[in-house]
Amino acid sequence: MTVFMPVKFRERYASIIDDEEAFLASMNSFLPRCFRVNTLKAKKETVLKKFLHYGITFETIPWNDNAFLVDDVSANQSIEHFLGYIYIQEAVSMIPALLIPKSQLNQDSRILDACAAPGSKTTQLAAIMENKGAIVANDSNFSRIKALKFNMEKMGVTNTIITNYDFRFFPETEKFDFILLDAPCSAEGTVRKNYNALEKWSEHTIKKLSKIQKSMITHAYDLLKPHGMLLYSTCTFAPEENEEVMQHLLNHRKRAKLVRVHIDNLKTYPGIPYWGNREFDSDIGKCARIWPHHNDTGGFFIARVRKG
Amino acid sequence: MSKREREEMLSSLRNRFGFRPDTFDDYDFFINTKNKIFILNKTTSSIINSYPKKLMNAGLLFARRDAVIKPTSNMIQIFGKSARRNTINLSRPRTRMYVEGFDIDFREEIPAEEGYVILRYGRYNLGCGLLRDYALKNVLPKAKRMRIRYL
Repeated sequence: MTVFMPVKFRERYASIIDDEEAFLASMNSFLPRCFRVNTLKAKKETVLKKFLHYGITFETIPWNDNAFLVDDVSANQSIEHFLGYIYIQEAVSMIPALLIPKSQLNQDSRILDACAAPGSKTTQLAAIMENKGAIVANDSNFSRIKALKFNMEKMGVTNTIITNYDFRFFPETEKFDFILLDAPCSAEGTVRKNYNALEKWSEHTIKKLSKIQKSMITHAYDLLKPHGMLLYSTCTFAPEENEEVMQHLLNHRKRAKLVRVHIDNLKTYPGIPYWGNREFDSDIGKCARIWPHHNDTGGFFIARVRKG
Repeated sequence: MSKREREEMLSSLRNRFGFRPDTFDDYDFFINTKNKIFILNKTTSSIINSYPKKLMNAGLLFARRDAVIKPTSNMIQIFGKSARRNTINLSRPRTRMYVEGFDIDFREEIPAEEGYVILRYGRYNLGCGLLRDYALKNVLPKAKRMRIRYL
């Protein structure tokens, strides 16, 4: 498999990748498929036992004990898939919800998933919350809300409402304990599953998206309760959409504090200290870059912010 | 949904399926203008009025209210385990037929009354079916139908 990769794209990141050869090899290889067990409907042990019985082979993921690598065609053809006992979801997309400390969730917790469709993270959150508390799943794209709704219902979610706001104008009537902002991005890190993701790649698009993300992140921060936590993520490598967005938040919300991102057994790379002639705050090193060749996943960026 | 409407609906479901009386105590219900009933937990129901302009969905589609209450398959997959009446255990071939979207003819005695029934395969609560004239009409939404290789 060879993915389309513009020369400018390769040149752009050569200086911030630790091993360019391994990076390119990984980008040109198939992304392992992955599922998680939907604990709202099924027990992990029961599902795995059935899969072994069917002869469906799966592998554990060292940094997520509820997710498994699998030949997705097999998993998709099981009664467990029909019943919503499993959810096919890319491994890195499970990271933001894993960073919410379960000990801080209770009956009254309120979570906002700002850009929720098609609902992978929302349904994962609902499972972590055991259908307690409340989730607001928002998406600006009306046509994608149908998929969000379908997935929520299939997974048996009863603690979520769906709204359809452009997130930049999301009303401030409620404040939240946790907010997930998986921002619309240039999706550079998704080429392993979407081979033509870079066909329309341009630096102009990156700049345009960066502007939107900056507007979104300050609004998300303002929607947090005091001491609330914001999780910002993208599936792109572009520093303009990652570190630069975090720098924008730190510049405009003085009480925002970055909290180190760490997941046991997941190899991460710290947020970069500078890009071009722009130098970033040293705290931005607490964010995590996930390069495809480090954990055999898609590319990802994640930051955790605590409201002061 | 008013208290009276809620009681009527739950009473109808209890009579039909023998749900335990406390099965839905922790939930609120909402009904829309198309008589679709949604279920959600109480914390979530307390915030739905915060988004009057762009609220697209609240909770899980639970049932449709018509001449009778028709439970959704998604509801049955969650709450079906506490049902005691009008449940039908399907064989493996019939489970496949049901999931693929086919109606099922019965020649044998069926341990259920005509009307909506809960379909099971062993311990799996599969969804809802409509039993009429010794046949099970498949009411599974098209988007949920699929071919099953592993059962």
